[in-house]
Amino acid sequence: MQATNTAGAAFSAAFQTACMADARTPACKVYIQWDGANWVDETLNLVSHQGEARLSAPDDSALLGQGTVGSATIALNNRNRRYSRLASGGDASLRAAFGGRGGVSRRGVRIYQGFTVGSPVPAPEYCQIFDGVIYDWADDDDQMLFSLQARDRGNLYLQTKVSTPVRRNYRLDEWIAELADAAGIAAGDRSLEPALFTVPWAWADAEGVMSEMGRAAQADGGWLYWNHHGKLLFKNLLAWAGQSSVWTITADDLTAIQPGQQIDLLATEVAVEWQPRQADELGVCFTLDERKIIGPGQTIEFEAKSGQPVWSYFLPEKDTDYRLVSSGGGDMNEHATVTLVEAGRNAQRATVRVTNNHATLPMILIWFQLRGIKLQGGPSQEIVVAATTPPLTGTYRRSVPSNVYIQSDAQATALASFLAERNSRLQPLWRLSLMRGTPAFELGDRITFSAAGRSVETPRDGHILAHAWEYGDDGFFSQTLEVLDREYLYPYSDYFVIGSTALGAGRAWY
Amino acid sequence: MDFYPPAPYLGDGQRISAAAHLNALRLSTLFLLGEYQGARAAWAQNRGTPALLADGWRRAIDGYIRKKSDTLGYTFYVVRDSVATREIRIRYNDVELTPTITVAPGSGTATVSSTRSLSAHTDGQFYSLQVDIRNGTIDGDTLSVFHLAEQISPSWPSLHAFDTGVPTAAQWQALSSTADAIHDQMLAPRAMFPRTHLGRNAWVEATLRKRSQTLFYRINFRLPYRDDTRAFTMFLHLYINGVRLATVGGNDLIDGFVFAADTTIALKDGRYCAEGDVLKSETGELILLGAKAGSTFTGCTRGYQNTLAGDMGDTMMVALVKARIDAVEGWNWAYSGTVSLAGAGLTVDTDYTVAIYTESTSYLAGDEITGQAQVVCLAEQEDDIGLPAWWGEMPSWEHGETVDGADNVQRIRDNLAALALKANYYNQPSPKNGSYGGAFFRRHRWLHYYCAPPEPKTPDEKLTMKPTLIYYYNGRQEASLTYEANKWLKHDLDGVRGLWPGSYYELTDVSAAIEDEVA
Repeated sequence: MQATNTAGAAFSAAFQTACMADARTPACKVYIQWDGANWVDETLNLVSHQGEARLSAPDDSALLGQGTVGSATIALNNRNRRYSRLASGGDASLRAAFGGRGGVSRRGVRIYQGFTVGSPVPAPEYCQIFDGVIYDWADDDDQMLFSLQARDRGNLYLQTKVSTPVRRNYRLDEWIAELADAAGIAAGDRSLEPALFTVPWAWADAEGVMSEMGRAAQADGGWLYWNHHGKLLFKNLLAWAGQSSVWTITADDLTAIQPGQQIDLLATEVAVEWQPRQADELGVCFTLDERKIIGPGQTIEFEAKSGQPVWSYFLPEKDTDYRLVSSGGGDMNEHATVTLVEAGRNAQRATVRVTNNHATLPMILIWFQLRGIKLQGGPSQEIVVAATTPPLTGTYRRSVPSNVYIQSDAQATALASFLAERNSRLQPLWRLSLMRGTPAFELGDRITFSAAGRSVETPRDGHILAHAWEYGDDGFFSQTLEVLDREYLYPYSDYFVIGSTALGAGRAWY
Repeated sequence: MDFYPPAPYLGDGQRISAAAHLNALRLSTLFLLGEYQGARAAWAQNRGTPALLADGWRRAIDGYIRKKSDTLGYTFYVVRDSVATREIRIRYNDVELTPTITVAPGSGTATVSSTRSLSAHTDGQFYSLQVDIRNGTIDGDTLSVFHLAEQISPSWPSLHAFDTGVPTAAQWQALSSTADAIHDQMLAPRAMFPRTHLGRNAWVEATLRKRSQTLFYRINFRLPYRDDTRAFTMFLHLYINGVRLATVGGNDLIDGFVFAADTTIALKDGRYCAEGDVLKSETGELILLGAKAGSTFTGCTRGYQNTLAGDMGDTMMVALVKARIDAVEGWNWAYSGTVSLAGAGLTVDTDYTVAIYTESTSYLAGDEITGQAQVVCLAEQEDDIGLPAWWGEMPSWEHGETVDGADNVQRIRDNLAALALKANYYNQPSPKNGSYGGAFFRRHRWLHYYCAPPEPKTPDEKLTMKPTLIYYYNGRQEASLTYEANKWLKHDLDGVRGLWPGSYYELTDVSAAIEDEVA
C-alpha cells in the first residue's frame, strides 16, 4: 500500500476514509510528456482512464514468475483539436511532437488518482496510480475524442539488447542490477531486494534485457515488474512472508466476489531443471577469416565473436595469436599494437584494435586468433520433489520452465521443494469487484476480505496479484482485484528473520 | 579454477533459507576446511654454503616473487660469529630493503624476525628477491631462512557468539564476510619446491606449516658404487625441526613391516611385493619373501644372502617404485611415499623445518662413485583421518527446522573463528633453480614460470630449455610448456587434462615457478 501522497506526505485520515466512503469526490490528474522532456497537465481534457497492473497470469508460473506489462488507456476531449496533428487549431508544440518521426511514441504518461477531501476548504489529494509511456494513440474525429494506449515503463526496454562479460558468483539481484545498468535503467529507477540465490555464472549476449531480467527473477522464485511510479522492482520469494494486512474489505465494499481454484496447478510432484556450467580449458575462441589491410598510422577495430561465452580473454600475443606482414611480405609484427578494447569485452564478443605504427608502410593482418577460457554448459539435470501429501491419485508432475539461471542442485532443490508443497493443495484465487476503488493499492499487498452473508463468511487474507481500475466520465472510480489466498502460501508463520528473530525462535525456509 | 562457493548475503529482514543461506554458509565453511587441509609443497631453502658475490656478500636465497602484499615478513636463524658482526640484507627487485640486519658477535644462534615494507612496488608484478649475508666465517649452517614471505594479516572481526539472543543483521553478515575473507587468505600464490640434488653428506631444508599428520616425499636415489672389496652405504635421513624422524635405507620410510612369526611376515601394505622379493629388516637382515596371501607372506627365508647389485638389498623398494611411478632415467630408485608426523611432537598451525640429509660412507670423489639423491618434493599431504579435533561438526538445515544457537549456527561461527586464526597468507618466493625445475601440489589455475638458460660458453653456442610439466594420470604424462628465455610465462593448468586440483606434478627445465589464481 502506498504510504504517501503525491505531495510526499502521509495520506490524510480524510483520504483514507474516502477510499471506502459511500459518498466521495474522486479526483485525478493526467500528465503527458509530449516532447519527451516537459510534463504537461492534460487533466482539463481528461474524459476517462482505465488500466491494469498484474504480477503474473494465474497459471503455472503464478507462483514463480514475473510481472506482466501494466497498461492504461486514457481518453481525452479533443473538441478544440488540440491533439489533431493536421488540424490548424490547438497547440503548435503538440503538433510538432505528433509530427516527428516517431510521433509521441514512448513519451511519458502519469496518472494520479485521489479524492477531494478536507474541510473547511476541500482540496484534492492524490496518489500516483500509473507511470508509463505512450504505446499508441487514436484520434476519433466523430466523437472528438483522443485516446492514448499506454504501457508501463518496461515498454521502453522491450527491444533493448544487452551484452555483458561473463560474471561469476553473482547474487541474482546483483545480476539484474548489472543488466539494468547495461540497459540504461538508472539505479534510482529501480528497487531490488536481495535475492536468495547466487548463480555461479551469468552473462548476456545480445539478449532482450526485460526477458533476461525476468528469467533471473524467476530463478530466485521472485517477481520483477514495473510499478506505478515507473520503478523496476524485484521481490524475492519470501517478500510476502512477514507482511501484515494493510486493508480490510467487507461485504459492504464488494459488488462481487468470485473464487477460483487454479485446478491446473495441482501436482503430486514438481520438477525443476538446472543447468550446470563450468569453465573450459584455455582454447581458441575466434579465428579471423579474412585479411585486413591497415594503412600507415591507421587504427582499425573489428569484433571477434565466439560461439560460446568466454570467461576470460587472453591478450593477443604476437606470433602466437597474430601475424602482420607488409605488402612485400616482411614481418610487421614489431610495428603494430594489437589490443582488446576494454569496453568491448563481452561474453561472446570482444573488440580487437590493431594500430599500424609504421610511418610509411601499410600492413596486412594475415592471421589472427583470440584465445580465452570458454564456459561450457553440461546437459541439464533435473530435480524432482514429490509432495509430502499428494493431492491426487497417480502422478501429476509440474515442471518449472527451463531457466539458465537455475544452476545448482541446491537452488533447484529448494525451488522444487517449495513448489511441491505449495502445489500439493488448491491455491484459491479470488476476484474481488470493489464498489469503490482504493487507488493506493500496490501489487503484492496483503489484504483481509470477507463477504458475510455471501460465499466468504469468515475473513481471509490474501495478496493482490492484479488490480484493474476505471475512472469514467461519470466521475466514478472503481477497481477489481485478483487476490491469491494466503492460507497455504507459507507452511509456517514463524520463519526466522535476520536481525529480529532470536536464535531458537524461528524456522528455516526451504 | 577457484571453486569456492561464496558465502551468502545475510541481510537485515531476510527470512533465512535452509538452502540459500544456512547450508550455503555451511558449504563455504567446509570448503575452507578443505583448503586449509589441502596438500602443499614445502618452501625450500638452500643449505649449501652461500655463493660468494662480486661485492663480497654471500647469497643465501635467490628467487622470484609475484607481489601481492605490502608487507614482507622474515625469520632468520643466524649462527653468531665469535668476532664479527654479521650483516644480512634483503634485496627486492635488486634493491636492498633497508635497513641492513645486523647480528652481534657472540655464541649460539640468534633469531631475527621482522617485516619490510613493499609499498613502493606494484601488485601483480614479478620481482627478484634475495637474501645475502656477510662477515665472519660463513657456511651452509650459518643462515637458516626459516620464513620469508609476503604476508597479509587482516583484522578479523570479533564474531558474535551465536549462542542465544537476537544477533543483528551485521553480526549475521559478519559470518559470511569472514568466510569470504578466509578464502582470500587461502589464495596466496604458491612457490614450487625446487628439485634439489644432494651428494653425500648434504642437506636440503624446507619450511612447512603443520596442518596434517602426513609428510609426503619424493626422492630419486642413486646407489654408491660397489666394487669387489668394499660395500658403501648411503642413507637418507629425514629431520623434523632438527630431530631425525626416519631413515630411508632400511624400510621405515615406506610401508614398513612387522614380524608376525619367524617365517611369516605381515607387511603394512603388501600390494607392491611379490613372492621372491627380498626385504631388509631394520637390523640389516635380508628376508626372501615366501608365498603371498594379501599382505602376509609365509615360508619366508630368514638370513637370505643378497646377490643383487648395490648395497641396499631392499628390493621391496624397487617393487614399490615399479608399482607407483615410472622409472626415472639415471636413477636407481625413486622413493615416493609418506611419513607420519604423529610422533614428531609438532604443534598444529606452527611452522617447522623438514630436512633431508644424505649420509654415505662412500669417500671417492665424483658422481659415478658416490651415492646421490635428488629430492623432488617435500610436502604436507591431506590426511585421511577425518575432521581435525578443533573442528565442530555442523548440522545441515531443512525447511521448518529451528534456527538455533548452540550446536547449530554457533558451530559455523566457531569453525569460522578457528579457521580465521589459522588462515595465513604467505606468498613465498620461488627459488631460482637453474634448469632443475620443481614440484607442486596443484592449488591454483595458473602456472607462472621462468626459464633462464645457462650462459653460453662460446658466442656460437645457443642454449635453450624445454620446459615440461610431468604428472600422473593414467600413467606418467608430459605436457610441453611454451618457452621463451628470461621471461615470465604462464600456463593454464585447467588445460592439462587430468591435472586436477590437488594433483602432484613436476616441472623440468624450469628455473622458477609460481602458482597463482590470477593469470
